[in-house]
Amino acid sequence: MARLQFKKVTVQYPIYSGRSMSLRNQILRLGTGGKIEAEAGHINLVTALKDISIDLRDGDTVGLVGHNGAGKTTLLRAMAGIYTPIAGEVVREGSLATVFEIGAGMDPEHSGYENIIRMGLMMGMTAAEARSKIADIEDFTELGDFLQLPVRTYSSGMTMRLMFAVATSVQPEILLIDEMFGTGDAAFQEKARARMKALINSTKIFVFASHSHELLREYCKRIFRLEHGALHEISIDTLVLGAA
Amino acid sequence: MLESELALYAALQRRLGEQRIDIVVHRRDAPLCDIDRETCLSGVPLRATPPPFNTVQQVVGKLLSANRAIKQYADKLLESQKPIFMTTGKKESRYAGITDIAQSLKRWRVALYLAWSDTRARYRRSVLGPFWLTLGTAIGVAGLGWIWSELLKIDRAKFIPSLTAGLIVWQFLAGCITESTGLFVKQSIIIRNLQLPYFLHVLQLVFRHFVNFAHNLVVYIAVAVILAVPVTWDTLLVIPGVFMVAMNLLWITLLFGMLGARFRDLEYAVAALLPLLFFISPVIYRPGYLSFSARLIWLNPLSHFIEIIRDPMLGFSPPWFVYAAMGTMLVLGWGMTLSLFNQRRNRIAFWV
Repeated sequence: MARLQFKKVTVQYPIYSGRSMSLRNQILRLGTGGKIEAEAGHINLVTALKDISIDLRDGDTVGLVGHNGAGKTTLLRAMAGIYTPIAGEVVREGSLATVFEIGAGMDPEHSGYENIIRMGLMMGMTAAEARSKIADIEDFTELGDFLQLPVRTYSSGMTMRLMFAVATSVQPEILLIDEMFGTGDAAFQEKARARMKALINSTKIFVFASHSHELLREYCKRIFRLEHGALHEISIDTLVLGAA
Repeated sequence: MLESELALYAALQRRLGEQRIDIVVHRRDAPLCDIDRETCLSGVPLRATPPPFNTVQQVVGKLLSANRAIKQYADKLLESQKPIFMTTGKKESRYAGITDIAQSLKRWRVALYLAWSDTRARYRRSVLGPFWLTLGTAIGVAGLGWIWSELLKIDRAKFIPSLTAGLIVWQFLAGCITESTGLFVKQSIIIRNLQLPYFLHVLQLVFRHFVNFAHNLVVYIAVAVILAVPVTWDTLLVIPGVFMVAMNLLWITLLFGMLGARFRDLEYAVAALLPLLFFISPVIYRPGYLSFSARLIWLNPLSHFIEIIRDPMLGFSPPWFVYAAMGTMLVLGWGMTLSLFNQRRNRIAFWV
């Protein structure tokens, strides 16, 4: 059984100005106090999520909508345990995989094969598991002998294929996806969609942040809207096909 | 049957963290936990009486099997791909640092693999590969050894081994320290997108420089053979020496990595100061060469880092206070770094 529960979670983000990132200003602040302090210690706190409560269980497929900067990515990162809330509680049970900015850990100097292992390890696989994914990735990416060449020689479309294939080669119970469709040629997009669909069907909890109402309707049963850091469930029927 | 119940009990304890759970037993033959799993997991505290035991033997037996079950279950939890994860606002983050380090140490092989793979990537398409490091050090030693031995008026056969040892240890130290300040910033894409414990990056960095150190060691061995450096039992002290240095470098890298992520000036400050440190540390010379400042030089912590490895390489044991100083730094350094890492570990994702 997988579970993802947020109890009144608040996530606050410090935005450091160039000045507060500087050691010199922090030291000056110690010495002078007063005047410079206001400037040197200026840290903007952004409350990206405020008192969010959500309880997801097996079978929940959730779509997140909201304007740019509404906090979708922050919410996904908090779900993944990357961002820690300053208040509230996150309880998560079950293995997790994220598809955010994919390709983390890819080194262009390495061959495609080496990168499959590297990215796999960083995603939490063991070396043996990562190796066992190779056949599937070879098959999906259709990169053939290119996989033996350094990734630096790939076109951006080929790199994208490889990153996508590795990112989606996992079988997690909880899958979190930040909008990332729309790469590669038409035939590949079709294939990518099919792979995504299969992956989503194999997971127990799925959370997907997107602006595409079409995709949200296709993959998700429940829709939540994020607005100014607050989360409301809305009816899926309010999503209009074709709207962005 | 009992074992599985104890396992469930252990799981519950883990799950609920600081909340006390006691288990209700109504009948002797009843299951240890008679509440369904769901209720337990939702965190309802239960009242309890301990299971009745008849004899000491039984108690010991049950304790042993409980211990075994808990161990097995803990192993299973840590091993399995289904981590049970829980994070709360302030309460839990007290142990965030230690948890991170424990998770990293469990996966040290990953760090080693990545470090090795980084080294290979850097020298891809070159014929000599990582042995360019070796060659660079060899050329440096030959050139510096020739000139400085004349300048310092010291016999080459004595000076060159000491210089070689000093240089390769210095490269290990300087490599880790220079890169440490930008460590988390450079890995920001990984930190913001994947759940990888942060200390793994630290391990990876220190491993990578250790690989370089091992390559450079070839130069020293060649020099030692050519110039007939004595090999004694004290030479074996190289091993604890390198170990102490590596352990100290781990906290330094972690601390500087954290500070460098928060205060971006540190990277430039360290880069500017290190070349100076090279000259005031006993790399080219040895503390004994200084007539007036021989005592003063030991105030530089890096002197201890160098001498704890160099003395055994030259065939004798370092003075006792070198071990004392390194041990003190190890304890104090790790203490300080751990407390800071525990407090601030969860903020690093926002800094990078």
